[in-house]
Amino acid sequence: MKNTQHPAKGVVKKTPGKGLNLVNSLNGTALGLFIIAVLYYTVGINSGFLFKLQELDLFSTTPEFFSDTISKIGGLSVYAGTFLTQFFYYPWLGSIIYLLLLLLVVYLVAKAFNLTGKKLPLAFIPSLALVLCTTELGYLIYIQKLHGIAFVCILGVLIILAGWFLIRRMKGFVQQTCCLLLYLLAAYPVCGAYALLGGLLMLLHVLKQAIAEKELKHWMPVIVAAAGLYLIPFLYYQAVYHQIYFNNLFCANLPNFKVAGHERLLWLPYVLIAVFFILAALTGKKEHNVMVRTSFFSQVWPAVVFLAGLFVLGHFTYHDKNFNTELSMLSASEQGNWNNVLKLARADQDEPTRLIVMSTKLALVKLGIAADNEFKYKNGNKPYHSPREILPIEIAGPFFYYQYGKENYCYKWCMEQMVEYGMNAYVMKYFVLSCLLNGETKLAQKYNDVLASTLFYKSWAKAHQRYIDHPEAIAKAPEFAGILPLTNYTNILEGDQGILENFIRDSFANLTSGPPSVLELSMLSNLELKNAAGFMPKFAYYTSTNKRIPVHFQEAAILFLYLEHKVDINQLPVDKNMLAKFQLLLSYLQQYHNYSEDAAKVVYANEFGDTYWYYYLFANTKKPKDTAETKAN
Amino acid sequence: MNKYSLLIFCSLLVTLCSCKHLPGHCKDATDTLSLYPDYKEVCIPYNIAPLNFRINNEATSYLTSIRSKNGKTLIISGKDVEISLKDWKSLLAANKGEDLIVQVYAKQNVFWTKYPAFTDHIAPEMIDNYVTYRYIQPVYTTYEDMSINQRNLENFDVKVLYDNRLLSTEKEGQCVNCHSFQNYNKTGNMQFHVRGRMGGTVIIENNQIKKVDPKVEGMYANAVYPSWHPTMNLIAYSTNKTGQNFHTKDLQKIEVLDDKSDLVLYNVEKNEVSPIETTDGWLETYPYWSPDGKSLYYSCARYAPKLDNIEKDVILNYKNIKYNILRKSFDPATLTFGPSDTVVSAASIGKSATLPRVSPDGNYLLFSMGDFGNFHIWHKSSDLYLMDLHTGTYKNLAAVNSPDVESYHSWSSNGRWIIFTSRRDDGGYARLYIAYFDKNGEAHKPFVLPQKKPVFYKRSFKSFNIPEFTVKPVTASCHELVKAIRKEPVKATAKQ
Repeated sequence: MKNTQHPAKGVVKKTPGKGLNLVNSLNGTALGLFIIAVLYYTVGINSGFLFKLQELDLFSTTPEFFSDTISKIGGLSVYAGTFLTQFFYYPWLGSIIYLLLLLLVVYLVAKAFNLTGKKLPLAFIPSLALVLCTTELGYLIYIQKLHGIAFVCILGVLIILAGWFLIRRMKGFVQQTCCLLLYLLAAYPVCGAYALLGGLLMLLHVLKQAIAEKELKHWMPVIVAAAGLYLIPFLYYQAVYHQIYFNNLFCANLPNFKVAGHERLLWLPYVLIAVFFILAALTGKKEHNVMVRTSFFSQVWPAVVFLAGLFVLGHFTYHDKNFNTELSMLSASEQGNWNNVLKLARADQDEPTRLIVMSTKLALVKLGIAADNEFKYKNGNKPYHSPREILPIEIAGPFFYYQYGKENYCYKWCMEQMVEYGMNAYVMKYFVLSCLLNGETKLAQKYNDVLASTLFYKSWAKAHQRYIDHPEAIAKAPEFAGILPLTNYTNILEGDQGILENFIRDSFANLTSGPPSVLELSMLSNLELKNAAGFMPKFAYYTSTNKRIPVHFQEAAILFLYLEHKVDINQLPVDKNMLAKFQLLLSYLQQYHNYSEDAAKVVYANEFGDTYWYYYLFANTKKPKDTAETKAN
Repeated sequence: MNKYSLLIFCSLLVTLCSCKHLPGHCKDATDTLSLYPDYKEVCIPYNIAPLNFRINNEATSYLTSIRSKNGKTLIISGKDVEISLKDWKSLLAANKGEDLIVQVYAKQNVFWTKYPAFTDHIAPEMIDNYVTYRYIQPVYTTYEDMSINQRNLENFDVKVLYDNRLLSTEKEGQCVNCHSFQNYNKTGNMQFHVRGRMGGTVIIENNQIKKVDPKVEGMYANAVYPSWHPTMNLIAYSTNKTGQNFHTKDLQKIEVLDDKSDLVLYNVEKNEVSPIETTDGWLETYPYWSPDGKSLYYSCARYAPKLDNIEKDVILNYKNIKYNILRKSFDPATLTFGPSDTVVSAASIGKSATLPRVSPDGNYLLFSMGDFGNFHIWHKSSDLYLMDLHTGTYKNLAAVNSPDVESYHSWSSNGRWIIFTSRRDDGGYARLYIAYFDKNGEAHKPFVLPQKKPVFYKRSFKSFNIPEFTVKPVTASCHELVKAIRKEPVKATAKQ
């Protein structure tokens, strides 16, 4: 009998033509835009961020690292994620790997849910969301506990897709149910919550068929599979893992964002991924050899959704100039490129954060020009643009303590950070450095061994191994030359209360002895504290031992002596132009005494903005403490 | 040849090829044998897990022979000497009281060289099967990842008794500490504290787990350092107002200081607390029952703050706070204590003695002594000392001490082994060391707790704290403990 079957209503055979060309060009454009977007948001504008991301992570080749990582739920994908994250050491290399994996996700999503032809742009949505999972982080990378975060989510999605491919190959409810249970048993320890989403999609597939079959017996496997979805994590909790809080059982391998407040927005890409897959699982159909006669809109709507996805990526990607400036400054500082730090400080148009101010000061100190220049640079206290409270000590505590010769505190904060956020290359480096300067070579060896077992920090480890083998070389090494004199102080027992800048400033301000570089730092610290009583005795000593008196010291001496009313400042052995400028300041004080502080700030800025006097009049010396408080806002 | 014969032939061939033979003639090595960990010339219990080690000397191949008077010689190849548990146990069991001779051969290029053999001694006395310790990064103020673990000393099995991450989240961190057993867990009774989230004291008694709060009205701090009476359901606690501060330069890095501390007695059955010693101007801490349960030893320091701000005062004067070891008699019938007498007058010689531990036979007192303070786990001056309780004389246990920290120590139930923590390995991380204590009251060279992988300690970033021997394992599972910890603690009452 001749087959008389016709296409369903509204469905007609169609030969490739204008519509197909449109689809092809849309798909090609989507692919191009996707590649450009990924590269732009990674190596394009986030190189420093990605470098920091890998520095706050660590992949070691030792068996202990492997066993320790996989002892947690989702450990295997974290292991693989940290392996891949290390390639961000060269941001372009990491970005290419990242892009290739995302393209693999696109390909598999398209294949899994038959998103071909005009629907192909939809297959980019999960990958765009995955990019956002990384680019939205900002300051949260400093307090993120999920290692390999950029790749863990990609690997998780790949395992979700593996589950989907598997279930579709299974015939019959029993086979499908067994497959689902086995999948959960195998995948949950590998990627945690992602396996549960994969299991949910598989369950939906079984459920759809059960509904279609309309027989009661087909619901039994659905119930078994649903129970498995809940019970298998519980089973692992009871029998295998002793390192997870029960409430976190169903969100293992997800970042530690809060669900309330500003942080809830960070869940957006994860929600998008889940919603996308659930919708795709519910609506996905086998491809027909027919094409639907469609309107222009129906041909382009997937492309529109794709563009919306791009918009969401751009909109929710973390942007903050100060964050980027801090990253660049810290990176330049670590390389000892202090001039570049100052260049970045000068280029920064925004109100600086305390970390930028601290980095600038450190660069000036290291270049030996702080006493002439510190108050010429912008002061500020802009809150960190972070949805969660973050302290400078969490961002760069070990670095600053190391640079200022507070090696015990550097070590302490490395330890605190390792305990709280796990092992990473950054803390390992400062463990090594602080131990070297403390003369604890055995401990330095322990940490250096970890770096030596990595792919990209082994050369750093090798370079520092010679100081472990020959500690006497430390005293002659240029790397430590600027720090060793700062370690010349008497031990005291105290605590920093987590307030980095205050602690460093106070400890130098209160010093009573030390080499010339420490004396200068101590005088500067007293200036920052507006502490004339702490400054003047040191100034007297300084003038007796130095021919040239730096600008800010002269400014401070004039001011403090004027305020004491004991000395005729005109008799002071200081620059006459400076004295004239001070007289001008006094006239300003008379002229604008009834101005508000904000108005006066503007008036004084032009003439005195680069002087200590301006700092004395307008800077809030309680800033470091305020910094800790404002972050809570 | 049929296929079965071929299979047997191949198997034999493989077996023969894999048999290890020691090199015949070989020169003596010119360098000194270096092992990690150092297991040379130590005295070991016959039931200890294999002492696996790494040979540090450079070579292309290694062979190690381990032999004794009886049984077969063990030959292990490789830089990492990982000994078969079964073979090791057989060898030691057959040679109680004998020597164990270990010889290392190293091949450089084509020639084998031989290092001088070293001899370990297998003591005829066994060690208790289990040691329970807290496994923790040497943390300062944050705590995220710590557990109380139980190690089977006869093999490498470790059971996590409780991991604080089971109930701990982010800032709502939880600290677990101060596990203590009654009489080496022979009764199955133990306790530990949970601080922070869902805090309280977990007590396992008669196979029941309960959570209590022994802090009663009038106590300024929680019950802290415990000692469970050897036969009665009584726990002596110190209650300490403790703070910690950080050295800016001193390598000891951290100072844990009490500015107030007293002793209390907790009656487990009645859930009742009574004072033991609460004299003003004195700091009492680290109580420890004598094995007969008729005396309570503790550390005590004179401290009279001069400033109104006691916390500041203690920071300024911490080096002047020196603890002696005192003892109080105890009447089990009336549950009353007698007056104190000084056992170790450390302050008189400018030292500070803490953590008194009486040997199970009641003959010796083992304690830590450092320059000042009571938290000797951070004091490099801290060494182990031994007092003969019959003569009242004490001596530095030089055989077990090192230039670094030696502190928390415990006796095995037969009194032949002591276990203690030391930071001698790298200066930063506390490890457990075991030393033989012979019938003449002499301690022998200690060895670090053996691990399956010789490089374990090099790659471990956690410290071992508070080692306590037990003869029986803890039977409660960590999930049973979680269940108990979730509950509100039962508040103790003050004894009227």
